[in-house]
Amino acid sequence: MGVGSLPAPASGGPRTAHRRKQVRLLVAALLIAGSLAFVIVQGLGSALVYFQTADEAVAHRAQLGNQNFNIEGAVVPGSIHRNGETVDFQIASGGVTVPVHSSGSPPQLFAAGVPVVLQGHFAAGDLFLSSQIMVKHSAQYVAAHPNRVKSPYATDPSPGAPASGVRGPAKPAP
Amino acid sequence: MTTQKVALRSVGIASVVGTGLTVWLGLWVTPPDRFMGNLVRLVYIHPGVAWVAFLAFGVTAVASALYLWKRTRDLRWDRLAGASAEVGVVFTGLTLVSGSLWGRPTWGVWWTWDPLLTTTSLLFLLYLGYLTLRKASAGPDVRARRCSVAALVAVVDVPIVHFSVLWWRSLHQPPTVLNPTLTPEIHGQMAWTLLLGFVSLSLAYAWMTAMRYRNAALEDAHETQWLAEALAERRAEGGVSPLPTPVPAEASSR
Repeated sequence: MGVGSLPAPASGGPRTAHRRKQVRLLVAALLIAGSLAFVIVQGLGSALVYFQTADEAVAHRAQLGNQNFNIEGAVVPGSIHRNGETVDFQIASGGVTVPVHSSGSPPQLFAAGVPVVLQGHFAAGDLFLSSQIMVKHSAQYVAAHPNRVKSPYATDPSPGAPASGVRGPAKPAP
Repeated sequence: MTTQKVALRSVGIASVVGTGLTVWLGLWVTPPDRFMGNLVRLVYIHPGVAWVAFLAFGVTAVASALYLWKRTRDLRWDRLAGASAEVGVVFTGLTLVSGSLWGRPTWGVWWTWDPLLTTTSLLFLLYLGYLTLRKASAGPDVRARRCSVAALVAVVDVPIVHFSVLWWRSLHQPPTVLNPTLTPEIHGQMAWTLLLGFVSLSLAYAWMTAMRYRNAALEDAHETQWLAEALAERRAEGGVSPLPTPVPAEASSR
Protein backbone atom coordinates (compact mmCIF):
# COMPACT_ATOMS: atom_id res chain seq x y z
CA MET A 1 0.00 0.00 0.00
CA GLY A 2 2.86 2.33 0.78
CA VAL A 3 4.69 1.81 -2.48
CA GLY A 4 5.81 5.05 -4.00
CA SER A 5 4.84 7.01 -0.92
CA LEU A 6 6.86 9.92 0.35
CA PRO A 7 8.02 10.29 3.94
CA ALA A 8 6.18 12.97 5.85
CA PRO A 9 8.19 15.97 7.04
CA ALA A 10 7.78 15.16 10.73
CA SER A 11 10.07 14.70 13.68
CA GLY A 12 10.74 11.20 15.05
CA GLY A 13 11.97 9.98 11.70
CA PRO A 14 10.01 9.59 8.51
CA ARG A 15 9.44 5.92 9.16
CA THR A 16 7.55 6.16 12.47
CA ALA A 17 5.56 9.15 11.22
CA HIS A 18 4.56 7.17 8.19
CA ARG A 19 3.50 4.20 10.30
CA ARG A 20 1.57 6.40 12.72
CA LYS A 21 -0.32 7.94 9.81
CA GLN A 22 -1.14 4.51 8.42
CA VAL A 23 -2.48 3.35 11.81
CA ARG A 24 -4.61 6.48 12.12
CA LEU A 25 -6.05 5.94 8.65
CA LEU A 26 -6.73 2.29 9.39
CA VAL A 27 -8.64 3.26 12.54
CA ALA A 28 -10.64 5.86 10.59
CA ALA A 29 -11.40 3.34 7.83
CA LEU A 30 -12.51 0.71 10.38
CA LEU A 31 -14.76 3.24 12.15
CA ILE A 32 -16.40 4.24 8.89
CA ALA A 33 -16.79 0.64 7.73
CA GLY A 34 -18.35 -0.22 11.09
CA SER A 35 -20.80 2.68 10.86
CA LEU A 36 -21.69 1.69 7.29
CA ALA A 37 -22.43 -1.85 8.41
CA PHE A 38 -24.54 -0.52 11.29
CA VAL A 39 -26.55 1.77 9.01
CA ILE A 40 -27.10 -0.98 6.43
CA VAL A 41 -28.23 -3.55 9.00
CA GLN A 42 -30.24 -1.16 11.17
CA GLY A 43 -31.60 1.02 8.40
CA LEU A 44 -32.17 -0.95 5.25
CA GLY A 45 -33.71 -3.81 7.21
CA SER A 46 -36.62 -1.67 8.31
CA ALA A 47 -36.41 1.07 5.70
CA LEU A 48 -37.42 -0.97 2.67
CA VAL A 49 -40.77 -1.74 4.27
CA TYR A 50 -40.92 1.22 6.57
CA PHE A 51 -44.57 0.73 7.47
CA GLN A 52 -47.63 -1.35 6.76
CA THR A 53 -50.90 0.39 6.10
CA ALA A 54 -53.72 -0.32 8.54
CA ASP A 55 -55.53 -2.63 6.10
CA GLU A 56 -52.35 -4.59 5.32
CA ALA A 57 -51.57 -4.93 9.01
CA VAL A 58 -55.04 -6.27 9.75
CA ALA A 59 -54.71 -8.71 6.84
CA HIS A 60 -51.39 -9.91 8.29
CA ARG A 61 -52.69 -9.84 11.87
CA ALA A 62 -51.92 -13.53 12.50
CA GLN A 63 -48.29 -13.36 11.32
CA LEU A 64 -47.61 -10.09 13.10
CA GLY A 65 -48.57 -11.52 16.50
CA ASN A 66 -47.29 -9.08 19.08
CA GLN A 67 -44.08 -8.13 17.29
CA ASN A 68 -43.13 -4.48 16.85
CA PHE A 69 -43.70 -2.81 13.49
CA ASN A 70 -44.81 0.52 12.02
CA ILE A 71 -48.44 0.98 11.05
CA GLU A 72 -49.78 3.82 8.92
CA GLY A 73 -53.19 5.40 8.49
CA ALA A 74 -55.14 8.63 8.78
CA VAL A 75 -56.49 9.62 12.17
CA VAL A 76 -60.26 9.11 12.09
CA PRO A 77 -62.00 12.42 12.85
CA GLY A 78 -63.91 12.41 16.12
CA SER A 79 -62.06 9.38 17.46
CA ILE A 80 -59.43 11.20 19.54
CA HIS A 81 -59.76 10.88 23.33
CA ARG A 82 -56.95 12.32 25.39
CA ASN A 83 -56.43 11.14 28.98
CA GLY A 84 -53.48 13.08 30.35
CA GLU A 85 -50.34 11.68 28.74
CA THR A 86 -52.05 8.86 26.87
CA VAL A 87 -54.38 9.16 23.93
CA ASP A 88 -56.87 6.80 22.31
CA PHE A 89 -57.90 7.15 18.69
CA GLN A 90 -58.51 5.23 15.49
CA ILE A 91 -56.62 5.16 12.24
CA ALA A 92 -58.05 4.16 8.89
CA SER A 93 -56.52 3.04 5.62
CA GLY A 94 -58.09 1.29 2.65
CA GLY A 95 -61.45 1.19 4.40
CA VAL A 96 -60.07 -0.65 7.44
CA THR A 97 -60.12 1.00 10.86
CA VAL A 98 -57.72 0.09 13.66
CA PRO A 99 -58.22 1.28 17.27
CA VAL A 100 -55.07 2.67 18.87
CA HIS A 101 -53.94 3.23 22.43
CA SER A 102 -50.86 5.43 22.58
CA SER A 103 -48.73 5.72 25.70
CA GLY A 104 -46.52 8.55 24.43
CA SER A 105 -47.80 12.09 24.16
CA PRO A 106 -48.60 12.95 20.55
CA PRO A 107 -46.53 15.50 18.58
CA GLN A 108 -47.94 18.99 18.20
CA LEU A 109 -49.16 18.50 14.62
CA PHE A 110 -51.22 15.46 15.63
CA ALA A 111 -54.84 16.10 14.65
CA ALA A 112 -57.91 14.49 13.13
CA GLY A 113 -57.50 13.55 9.47
CA VAL A 114 -53.69 13.65 9.56
CA PRO A 115 -51.79 10.59 8.30
CA VAL A 116 -49.62 9.10 11.01
CA VAL A 117 -47.03 6.35 11.34
CA LEU A 118 -47.15 4.55 14.67
CA GLN A 119 -44.44 2.42 16.26
CA GLY A 120 -45.79 -0.40 18.37
CA HIS A 121 -47.55 -3.75 18.25
CA PHE A 122 -50.95 -5.39 18.25
CA ALA A 123 -52.47 -6.33 21.60
CA ALA A 124 -55.72 -8.19 22.14
CA GLY A 125 -57.76 -8.33 18.95
CA ASP A 126 -56.99 -5.49 16.55
CA LEU A 127 -56.05 -2.97 19.26
CA PHE A 128 -52.70 -1.40 18.40
CA LEU A 129 -50.50 -0.31 21.31
CA SER A 130 -48.38 2.61 20.12
CA SER A 131 -45.25 3.83 21.85
CA GLN A 132 -44.50 6.58 19.35
CA ILE A 133 -46.73 8.65 17.09
CA MET A 134 -45.08 10.18 14.02
CA VAL A 135 -46.95 12.70 11.91
CA LYS A 136 -46.51 12.58 8.15
CA HIS A 137 -46.81 15.90 6.46
CA SER A 138 -47.18 16.69 2.81
CA ALA A 139 -44.72 18.34 0.45
CA GLN A 140 -47.15 21.21 -0.05
CA TYR A 141 -46.58 24.51 1.62
CA VAL A 142 -49.52 26.88 1.68
CA ALA A 143 -49.74 30.20 3.45
CA ALA A 144 -51.94 30.21 6.54
CA HIS A 145 -53.58 33.44 5.37
CA PRO A 146 -54.38 32.73 1.72
CA ASN A 147 -55.57 36.29 1.08
CA ARG A 148 -52.01 37.50 1.72
CA VAL A 149 -50.61 35.43 -1.09
CA LYS A 150 -52.04 35.15 -4.56
CA SER A 151 -52.63 31.56 -5.46
CA PRO A 152 -50.80 30.49 -8.61
CA TYR A 153 -52.97 27.39 -8.92
CA ALA A 154 -56.57 26.87 -9.88
CA THR A 155 -56.82 24.13 -7.27
CA ASP A 156 -56.04 26.23 -4.24
CA PRO A 157 -56.98 24.22 -1.17
CA SER A 158 -59.72 25.92 0.78
CA PRO A 159 -58.69 27.50 4.08
CA GLY A 160 -59.78 26.09 7.38
CA ALA A 161 -59.44 22.45 6.37
CA PRO A 162 -55.98 21.51 7.61
CA ALA A 163 -56.25 17.87 6.64
CA SER A 164 -56.86 18.48 2.95
CA GLY A 165 -53.34 19.76 2.37
CA VAL A 166 -51.92 16.54 3.69
CA ARG A 167 -50.90 13.74 1.43
CA GLY A 168 -53.43 10.95 1.25
CA PRO A 169 -52.86 8.26 3.83
CA ALA A 170 -52.94 5.17 1.66
CA LYS A 171 -50.01 4.74 -0.67
CA PRO A 172 -50.10 1.78 -3.02
CA ALA A 173 -47.49 -0.86 -2.35
CA PRO A 174 -44.40 -0.43 -4.52
CA MET B 1 -5.42 36.70 -11.41
CA THR B 2 -6.91 39.78 -9.86
CA THR B 3 -10.13 39.42 -11.81
CA GLN B 4 -10.28 35.87 -10.52
CA LYS B 5 -9.92 37.13 -6.96
CA VAL B 6 -12.58 39.78 -7.49
CA ALA B 7 -14.95 37.18 -8.95
CA LEU B 8 -14.33 34.82 -6.05
CA ARG B 9 -14.88 37.57 -3.51
CA SER B 10 -18.12 38.69 -5.19
CA VAL B 11 -19.44 35.13 -5.11
CA GLY B 12 -18.61 34.96 -1.41
CA ILE B 13 -20.30 38.27 -0.64
CA ALA B 14 -23.33 37.39 -2.77
CA SER B 15 -23.76 34.09 -0.95
CA VAL B 16 -23.57 35.73 2.48
CA VAL B 17 -25.98 38.53 1.51
CA GLY B 18 -28.34 36.07 -0.20
CA THR B 19 -28.34 33.68 2.75
CA GLY B 20 -28.94 36.57 5.14
CA LEU B 21 -31.82 37.77 3.00
CA THR B 22 -33.24 34.23 2.92
CA VAL B 23 -33.12 34.05 6.72
CA TRP B 24 -34.83 37.45 7.02
CA LEU B 25 -37.53 36.54 4.48
CA GLY B 26 -37.91 33.09 5.97
CA LEU B 27 -38.25 34.20 9.57
CA TRP B 28 -40.09 37.51 9.30
CA VAL B 29 -41.62 38.18 5.90
CA THR B 30 -43.13 34.89 4.72
CA PRO B 31 -46.43 33.74 6.20
CA PRO B 32 -46.80 30.71 8.46
CA ASP B 33 -47.93 27.52 6.77
CA ARG B 34 -51.57 26.47 6.93
CA PHE B 35 -50.73 23.09 8.43
CA MET B 36 -47.33 23.50 10.06
CA GLY B 37 -47.60 27.09 11.23
CA ASN B 38 -44.21 28.59 12.00
CA LEU B 39 -42.52 25.21 11.80
CA VAL B 40 -42.55 25.63 8.02
CA ARG B 41 -39.70 28.13 8.19
CA LEU B 42 -36.99 25.49 8.04
CA VAL B 43 -38.14 24.76 4.48
CA TYR B 44 -36.11 27.75 3.31
CA ILE B 45 -32.86 26.17 4.53
CA HIS B 46 -33.09 22.39 4.80
CA PRO B 47 -33.88 21.41 1.16
CA GLY B 48 -31.39 23.97 -0.12
CA VAL B 49 -28.66 22.49 2.06
CA ALA B 50 -29.53 18.99 0.84
CA TRP B 51 -29.47 20.23 -2.76
CA VAL B 52 -25.94 21.59 -2.28
CA ALA B 53 -24.80 18.20 -0.96
CA PHE B 54 -26.16 16.57 -4.15
CA LEU B 55 -24.57 19.27 -6.31
CA ALA B 56 -21.22 18.83 -4.57
CA PHE B 57 -21.14 15.07 -5.03
CA GLY B 58 -22.28 15.50 -8.63
CA VAL B 59 -19.36 17.83 -9.30
CA THR B 60 -17.01 15.37 -7.57
CA ALA B 61 -18.28 12.58 -9.83
CA VAL B 62 -17.93 14.63 -13.02
CA ALA B 63 -14.44 15.83 -12.08
CA SER B 64 -13.45 12.25 -11.22
CA ALA B 65 -14.74 10.99 -14.56
CA LEU B 66 -12.78 13.75 -16.33
CA TYR B 67 -9.67 12.66 -14.46
CA LEU B 68 -10.17 9.02 -15.38
CA TRP B 69 -10.75 9.82 -19.05
CA LYS B 70 -7.29 9.86 -20.62
CA ARG B 71 -7.90 12.83 -22.88
CA THR B 72 -8.79 15.13 -20.01
CA ARG B 73 -6.56 13.57 -17.34
CA ASP B 74 -5.25 16.34 -15.14
CA LEU B 75 -4.53 16.40 -11.41
CA ARG B 76 -6.52 19.61 -11.21
CA TRP B 77 -9.71 17.59 -11.78
CA ASP B 78 -8.73 15.37 -8.88
CA ARG B 79 -8.16 18.43 -6.72
CA LEU B 80 -11.59 19.81 -7.66
CA ALA B 81 -13.18 16.43 -6.87
CA GLY B 82 -11.61 16.50 -3.41
CA ALA B 83 -12.53 20.12 -2.69
CA SER B 84 -16.13 19.57 -3.78
CA ALA B 85 -16.47 16.38 -1.72
CA GLU B 86 -15.24 18.19 1.40
CA VAL B 87 -17.95 20.82 1.02
CA GLY B 88 -20.46 18.10 0.19
CA VAL B 89 -19.72 16.23 3.41
CA VAL B 90 -20.22 19.42 5.43
CA PHE B 91 -23.56 20.05 3.73
CA THR B 92 -24.67 16.43 4.14
CA GLY B 93 -23.95 16.79 7.84
CA LEU B 94 -25.95 20.02 7.91
CA THR B 95 -28.78 18.27 6.05
CA LEU B 96 -28.93 15.56 8.71
CA VAL B 97 -28.80 18.08 11.56
CA SER B 98 -31.34 20.53 10.11
CA GLY B 99 -33.61 17.63 9.14
CA SER B 100 -33.42 16.24 12.64
CA LEU B 101 -34.23 19.65 14.13
CA TRP B 102 -37.20 19.88 11.79
CA GLY B 103 -38.33 16.31 12.37
CA ARG B 104 -38.63 16.60 16.15
CA PRO B 105 -41.44 19.20 16.20
CA THR B 106 -43.20 18.16 12.96
CA TRP B 107 -42.96 14.36 12.92
CA GLY B 108 -42.42 13.99 16.64
CA VAL B 109 -39.05 12.21 16.44
CA TRP B 110 -35.45 13.34 16.01
CA TRP B 111 -34.65 10.31 13.91
CA THR B 112 -36.33 7.33 12.29
CA TRP B 113 -34.90 4.65 10.01
CA ASP B 114 -37.01 5.56 7.01
CA PRO B 115 -35.52 5.07 3.51
CA LEU B 116 -34.57 8.70 2.93
CA LEU B 117 -32.89 9.17 6.29
CA THR B 118 -31.12 5.83 6.03
CA THR B 119 -29.74 6.46 2.54
CA THR B 120 -28.71 10.00 3.52
CA SER B 121 -26.70 8.76 6.49
CA LEU B 122 -25.19 6.20 4.11
CA LEU B 123 -24.23 9.06 1.79
CA PHE B 124 -22.53 10.88 4.66
CA LEU B 125 -20.50 7.81 5.59
CA LEU B 126 -19.59 6.97 1.97
CA TYR B 127 -18.06 10.39 1.43
CA LEU B 128 -16.37 10.39 4.83
CA GLY B 129 -14.76 7.20 3.58
CA TYR B 130 -13.87 8.94 0.33
CA LEU B 131 -12.16 11.76 2.22
CA THR B 132 -10.26 9.19 4.30
CA LEU B 133 -9.12 7.51 1.10
CA ARG B 134 -7.83 10.86 -0.11
CA LYS B 135 -5.59 11.01 2.98
CA ALA B 136 -4.20 7.51 2.45
CA SER B 137 -0.58 7.82 1.41
CA ALA B 138 0.15 7.08 -2.21
CA GLY B 139 1.67 8.89 -5.15
CA PRO B 140 -0.54 11.66 -6.51
CA ASP B 141 -1.50 9.70 -9.62
CA VAL B 142 -2.28 6.47 -7.78
CA ARG B 143 -4.30 8.39 -5.22
CA ALA B 144 -6.20 10.33 -7.87
CA ARG B 145 -7.10 7.16 -9.78
CA ARG B 146 -8.20 5.35 -6.63
CA CYS B 147 -10.28 8.28 -5.41
CA SER B 148 -11.87 8.87 -8.81
CA VAL B 149 -13.14 5.30 -8.90
CA ALA B 150 -14.41 5.59 -5.33
CA ALA B 151 -16.22 8.83 -6.16
CA LEU B 152 -17.96 7.21 -9.13
CA VAL B 153 -19.09 4.33 -6.90
CA ALA B 154 -20.29 6.57 -4.07
CA VAL B 155 -22.28 8.90 -6.33
CA VAL B 156 -24.69 6.03 -7.08
CA ASP B 157 -26.26 6.76 -3.69
CA VAL B 158 -27.24 10.32 -4.70
CA PRO B 159 -30.16 9.35 -6.99
CA ILE B 160 -31.11 6.62 -4.51
CA VAL B 161 -31.46 9.27 -1.80
CA HIS B 162 -33.45 11.56 -4.07
CA PHE B 163 -35.85 8.90 -5.31
CA SER B 164 -36.12 6.93 -2.06
CA VAL B 165 -39.24 8.87 -1.11
CA LEU B 166 -40.86 7.87 -4.40
CA TRP B 167 -39.60 4.28 -4.60
CA TRP B 168 -40.26 3.21 -1.02
CA ARG B 169 -42.59 4.10 1.80
CA SER B 170 -41.22 6.76 4.03
CA LEU B 171 -42.10 9.23 6.71
CA HIS B 172 -40.36 12.00 4.81
CA GLN B 173 -42.49 13.83 2.28
CA PRO B 174 -41.65 13.67 -1.45
CA PRO B 175 -39.68 16.54 -3.01
CA THR B 176 -41.54 19.86 -3.19
CA VAL B 177 -39.73 21.37 -6.16
CA LEU B 178 -37.80 18.62 -7.99
CA ASN B 179 -40.78 16.24 -8.02
CA PRO B 180 -41.66 14.00 -11.00
CA THR B 181 -43.98 16.59 -12.58
CA LEU B 182 -41.65 19.48 -11.73
CA THR B 183 -44.53 21.54 -10.35
CA PRO B 184 -43.38 23.26 -7.19
CA GLU B 185 -45.98 22.72 -4.48
CA ILE B 186 -45.26 25.96 -2.73
CA HIS B 187 -46.89 29.33 -3.19
CA GLY B 188 -45.97 32.93 -3.87
CA GLN B 189 -43.54 34.53 -1.43
CA MET B 190 -42.70 31.17 0.08
CA ALA B 191 -41.59 29.86 -3.31
CA TRP B 192 -39.42 32.90 -4.00
CA THR B 193 -37.75 32.67 -0.62
CA LEU B 194 -37.10 28.98 -1.20
CA LEU B 195 -35.56 29.77 -4.59
CA LEU B 196 -33.38 32.50 -3.10
CA GLY B 197 -32.20 30.00 -0.49
CA PHE B 198 -31.27 27.49 -3.21
CA VAL B 199 -29.34 30.11 -5.18
CA SER B 200 -27.54 31.59 -2.14
CA LEU B 201 -26.52 28.21 -0.78
CA SER B 202 -25.30 27.16 -4.23
CA LEU B 203 -23.16 30.31 -4.34
CA ALA B 204 -21.85 29.44 -0.87
CA TYR B 205 -20.95 26.02 -2.27
CA ALA B 206 -19.09 27.56 -5.22
CA TRP B 207 -17.20 29.91 -2.93
CA MET B 208 -16.25 27.25 -0.38
CA THR B 209 -15.19 24.79 -3.07
CA ALA B 210 -13.04 27.42 -4.78
CA MET B 211 -11.36 28.25 -1.47
CA ARG B 212 -10.71 24.59 -0.66
CA TYR B 213 -9.41 24.07 -4.21
CA ARG B 214 -6.99 26.95 -3.77
CA ASN B 215 -5.88 25.55 -0.42
CA ALA B 216 -5.27 22.13 -1.95
CA ALA B 217 -3.26 23.70 -4.77
CA LEU B 218 -1.11 25.56 -2.22
CA GLU B 219 -0.63 22.38 -0.19
CA ASP B 220 0.48 20.47 -3.27
CA ALA B 221 2.88 23.26 -4.23
CA HIS B 222 4.23 23.33 -0.68
CA GLU B 223 4.78 19.57 -0.68
CA THR B 224 6.63 19.70 -4.01
CA GLN B 225 8.77 22.55 -2.76
CA TRP B 226 9.53 20.74 0.48
CA LEU B 227 10.58 17.65 -1.44
CA ALA B 228 12.82 19.65 -3.75
CA GLU B 229 14.44 21.42 -0.80
CA ALA B 230 14.96 18.19 1.12
CA LEU B 231 16.59 16.56 -1.88
CA ALA B 232 18.84 19.57 -2.42
CA GLU B 233 19.84 19.54 1.26
CA ARG B 234 20.73 15.88 1.24
CA ARG B 235 22.68 16.26 -1.96
CA ALA B 236 24.66 19.06 -0.32
CA GLU B 237 25.25 16.93 2.82
CA GLY B 238 26.50 13.98 0.86
CA GLY B 239 28.78 16.03 -1.36
CA VAL B 240 29.52 13.93 -4.44
CA SER B 241 28.34 10.64 -2.87
CA PRO B 242 25.15 9.03 -4.20
CA LEU B 243 21.80 10.16 -2.80
CA PRO B 244 20.93 8.89 0.68
CA THR B 245 17.91 6.61 0.28
CA PRO B 246 15.01 8.99 -0.27
CA VAL B 247 12.41 6.21 0.00
CA PRO B 248 12.09 4.55 3.44
CA ALA B 249 13.23 0.92 3.53
CA GLU B 250 9.85 -0.14 4.82
CA ALA B 251 8.04 1.27 1.83
CA SER B 252 10.47 -0.04 -0.75
CA SER B 253 10.43 -3.54 0.73
CA ARG B 254 6.72 -3.93 0.03
